[in-house]
Amino acid sequence: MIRLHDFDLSGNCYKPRLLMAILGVRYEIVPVDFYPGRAHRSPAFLRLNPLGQLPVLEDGDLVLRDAQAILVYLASRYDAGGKWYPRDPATQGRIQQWLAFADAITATASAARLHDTMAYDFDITRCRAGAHALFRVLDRHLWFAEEAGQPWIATDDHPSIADIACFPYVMLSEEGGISREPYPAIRRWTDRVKAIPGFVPMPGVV
Amino acid sequence: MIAARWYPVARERDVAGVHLFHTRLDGTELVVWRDDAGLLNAWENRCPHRSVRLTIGRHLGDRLKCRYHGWEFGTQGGRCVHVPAHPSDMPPARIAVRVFPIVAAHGLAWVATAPPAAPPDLALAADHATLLLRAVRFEADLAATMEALVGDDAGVRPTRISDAHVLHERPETGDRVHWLLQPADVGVTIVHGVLCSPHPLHDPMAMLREFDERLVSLRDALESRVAHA
Repeated sequence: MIRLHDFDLSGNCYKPRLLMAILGVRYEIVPVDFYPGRAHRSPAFLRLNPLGQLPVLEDGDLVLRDAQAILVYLASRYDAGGKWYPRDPATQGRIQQWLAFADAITATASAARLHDTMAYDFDITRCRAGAHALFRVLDRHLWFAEEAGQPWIATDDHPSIADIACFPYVMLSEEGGISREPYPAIRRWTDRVKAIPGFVPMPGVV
Repeated sequence: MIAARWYPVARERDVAGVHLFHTRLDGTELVVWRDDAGLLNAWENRCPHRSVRLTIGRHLGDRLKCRYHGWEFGTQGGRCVHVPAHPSDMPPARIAVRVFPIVAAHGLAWVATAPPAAPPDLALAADHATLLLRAVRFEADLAATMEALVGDDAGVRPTRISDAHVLHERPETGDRVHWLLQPADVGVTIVHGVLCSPHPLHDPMAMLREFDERLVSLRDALESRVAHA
């Protein structure tokens, strides 16, 4: 059985939870007290991931860290239809480009949320400005994608792991003081993600 | 206070289905939505009970339901029609969301802070092809945004139609772009564009991108001037 080392309030842990729920993959949760317990810095956890970051996924002998890498693995291994990470090279390149973008959202929007809700010592002005700059790019991208009849971030007829990777910290941005009101195409896209069959929420995602 | 006239807030087609469109006019947050009968609503984005944003609520066809305590407000009048804690009582008529006038014209949804007499009219020639451009948000006030559009004369002839409407004409093609400004808030103006062409549009996507790039570069230049002022 797959084991996910998980913190309920983490958007990065929500990414594999959301994909596994949609794909109907069964897994077991190993709760890690990220806040306030800082259990992700414990010697036991650091043996699993020397970077001290959540999530970590174990599947048999495989131990994987990094939410984006985990999404690539889960979609490649468990999506029989090959829809979430299609084998086409150009599509895979586009998806990887947006997985990196999702990491940049984590570095800005998620950091702002850690500052506001979990007392992290970050430069909040910079985090928020960085998130708004990225959201402007994503909103414009999604507007033109919609115009071209493509409702998803990197694919046209079916959502991909790029949508799963970008969704959580966009959806949680208000907890870091980042409004989504300026981004109408992002708001329409989040409605579409929430309507994917099998979608599950997390605390703070409404 | 902004002048009493219609301001565009969204493309009509973006106010569709169960989507709750979130915008702002003159500092007031709005939820703009279309009921199942096709009628448009522009309401203050605030539940009169505990002030929670209605944009995080649910569209129930002919009413919106607040996310917090489940109060429901009916289409058009915005009147409270259901309070879950008092299921058998009809709520008093004075409990209602603040409602703004809204009309559809030229493919856009227009909202007013006070009801103006005449509907919005861009005087478009009937034989022209029209294309709605992407609305671009400027972190700048109405006057500065107007000035930037009126001053943009590279390849176009700009005309100030009102203090929230600039016309750009391209003499060599006859293309005209109506730039319609939504004074969203202090220091925030959203620019909507309607392209009218005497010719059929062969490649609308290319046109959309071309005008978008131009407007975005105008915005970036203005915002960096505002930031360094």
